[in-house]
Amino acid sequence: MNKKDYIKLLNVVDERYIEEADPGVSAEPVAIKPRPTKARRKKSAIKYAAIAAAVALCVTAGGLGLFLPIDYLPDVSMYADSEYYSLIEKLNAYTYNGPEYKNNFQKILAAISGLGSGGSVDKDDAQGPAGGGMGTDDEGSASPDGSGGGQGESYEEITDNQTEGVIEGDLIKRSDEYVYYLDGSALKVFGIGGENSQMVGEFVFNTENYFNCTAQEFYLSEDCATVTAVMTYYDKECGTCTSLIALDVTDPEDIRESGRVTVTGSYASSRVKDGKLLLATNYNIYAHDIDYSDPSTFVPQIDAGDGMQPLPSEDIVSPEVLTSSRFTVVTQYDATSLESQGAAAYVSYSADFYASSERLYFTRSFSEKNESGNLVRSTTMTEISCLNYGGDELVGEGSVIIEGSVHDRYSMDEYEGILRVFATTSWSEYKDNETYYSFGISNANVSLYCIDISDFSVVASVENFAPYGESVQSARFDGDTAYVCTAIELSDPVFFFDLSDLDNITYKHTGTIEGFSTSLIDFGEGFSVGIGVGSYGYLKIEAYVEDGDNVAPICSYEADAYYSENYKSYYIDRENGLIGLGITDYSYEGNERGRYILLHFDGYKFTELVNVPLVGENSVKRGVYVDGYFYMFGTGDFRVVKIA
Amino acid sequence: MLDSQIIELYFARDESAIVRTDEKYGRYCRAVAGRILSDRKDAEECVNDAYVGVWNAIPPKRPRNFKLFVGIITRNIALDRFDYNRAKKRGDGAEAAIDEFASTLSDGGMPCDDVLALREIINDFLASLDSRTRIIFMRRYWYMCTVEEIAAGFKLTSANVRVILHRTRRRFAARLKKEGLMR
Repeated sequence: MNKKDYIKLLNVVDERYIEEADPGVSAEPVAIKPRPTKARRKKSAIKYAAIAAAVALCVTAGGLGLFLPIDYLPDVSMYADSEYYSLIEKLNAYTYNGPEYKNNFQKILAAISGLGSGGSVDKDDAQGPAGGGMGTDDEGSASPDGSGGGQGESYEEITDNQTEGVIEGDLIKRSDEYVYYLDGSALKVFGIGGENSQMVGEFVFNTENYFNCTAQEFYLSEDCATVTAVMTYYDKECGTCTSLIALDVTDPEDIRESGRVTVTGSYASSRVKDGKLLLATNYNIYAHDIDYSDPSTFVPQIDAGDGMQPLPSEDIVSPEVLTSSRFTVVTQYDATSLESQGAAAYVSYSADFYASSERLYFTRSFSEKNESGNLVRSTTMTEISCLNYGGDELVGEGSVIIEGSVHDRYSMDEYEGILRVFATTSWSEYKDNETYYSFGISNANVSLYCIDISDFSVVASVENFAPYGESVQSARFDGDTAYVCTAIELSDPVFFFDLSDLDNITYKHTGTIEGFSTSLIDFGEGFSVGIGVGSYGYLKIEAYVEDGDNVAPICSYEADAYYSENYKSYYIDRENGLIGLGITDYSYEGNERGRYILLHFDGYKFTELVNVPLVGENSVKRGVYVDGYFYMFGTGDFRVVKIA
Repeated sequence: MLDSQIIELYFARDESAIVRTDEKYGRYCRAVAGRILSDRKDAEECVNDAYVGVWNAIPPKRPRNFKLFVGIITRNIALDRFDYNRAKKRGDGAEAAIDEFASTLSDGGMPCDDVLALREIINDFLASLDSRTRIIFMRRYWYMCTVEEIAAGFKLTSANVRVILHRTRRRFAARLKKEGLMR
């Protein structure tokens, strides 16, 4: 047993004692320079002697150019003929790490003092890859285009899209005859026939030849003849790739692949509007791998059936100055034929985006540090970049930087030329220099910003309106009103904002109530429904309504259960007052815990209409109500319940 | 983002979970690793390894306290790496803490392998301490704070803290021996 094994005994210590002793929670640790030991004093003496020698050297060296600035920015002029030269110049400037020392004097001095102190700060060889893989997520790509085909089926939209007319991908889509469900790597087609419903067709994506192959979501064309699925996988040569795969589903019993296009990068999100599919992928440039003579090392590739080709330079829009080597790349395709529509854009890395009817908004968070003495204040900032996709090409319209971070796409909304954004403003303070590893303090609050998209200026704001320490948990805009739920852990004010007059923004709130909502749903007729957690951290669904000077909770449904926070896993049917979702209910045993519930909200109370076992992760369970029956889909599971 | 939301991202196998973890607890983890490994680059690698560990652990695990869950993994990896550093004659930040802790305990033999019993007795021992002593003990041997840092936090002298630590270590070793947990 060695010494470190003794200290590992403390691995069994209760979390409460670890937390209690956290130097960042209780008494603030202070960086103390220990009184030098004899050995240290000796080292210091050597150090100072070395520095003195260096100074003497400096004096004698005189005009030897010690103070001339060092500038090693690599010359890339040999690539001036490259169609990507503009991008090469920007990448060169960004990936260049800068000289370690401003001039030769500093370099020599550092070397000498390094000898004296017996070590060096390994400033290291450079840039390195900009982050690992990035998450795939929500949204999808899709469909409609209205041209003939199909079997006379008609398309029925069931995904609760954030923006009307801008379709989001999902694991479930339907026509008036069939429900299409993406179950793992298989697209399954079920006939709509009440209790007699059954699977009528299936298409299994080939995942054997790829590593980490995942079918993300899909779209169904408006004529119900084509399914366009989004799939991601890892390829040894190209890295992470995202494929759009078109399937001919005119005959559900004989589904065939009809087209495919692949772009390098991981899937971020997608939308379909007016037959145009916008695909956002995240692409990393690995500084060590860049070879400017080989565009494949720094330009995303597209394979439309003729091998991987770098995006044409004229399709690349990039900011004047690159601030990251991770990019979100937006490409446009015909939603059914997958023909490239030749537009692409580099924007700052963004895990997701918000799509209004004509614009895409991407967010990039970063920290801004201000030093005062040895105290560093780090503030979270967000750059929101805008691309207009309404025309034939993607056009960068501008960007704005706000304080805070944007929780998700539902925290943004464009309305009558104004982008409204809820942001969690957060900052932390800590002592710098030798206390790099010290524990600081941090704080948070919530602000609303209204941005005029004609010039990207903030024209109105309500800053830090929430209680101390709160952050945005969920938000929802509806015309000139907005709901936002903030919380620290388990206290939950829901705010209602009246945005009809930006010179006089008013708001009211519920006051503190137990739990908080992770999703807020505008349920129509002035009602808002929050799906979140209650006092014990389990599922709580609560309805709110504006009531005079307050926002009043009307009723709630609680269960001893976990749920998914993936908004698309909820079935929202405002017309029939239905809310469905998959849950893991701990009041049941074993396999019975995985369930699907359907609630009816009548304006006064929630009534549980369905509560049945359903297999699968809650995030992939889906349900849909059709003509008196509720259809539920899970991993290898399918159920139908008649609704009275 | 709340811990529960980050954990949900791990369950959804969403790689942004790691980004969110780093945003929220990156500095905490670097602090934990940095006090054990004096080299910043090593600490950074250690934190990255810890994130991989978290990714592999969730699911199936659903930690109650996510921050400490990440912190404990980070600490273990840093301790594992600490040997390597020492072999290379680098890094002495936590060495004194590890040495003094081990030297007191090794006098009584080696701890037994009964993890459940160790858990019960160690936590019972900590519960028996007054809160100031407990925090001092944990800061020194869990967080690897220096004696000077601890002293400054409690407005004590370094000598005073050393005495408290020494007495507590001896009580700790005696308790383990008394309970038959040293062999």
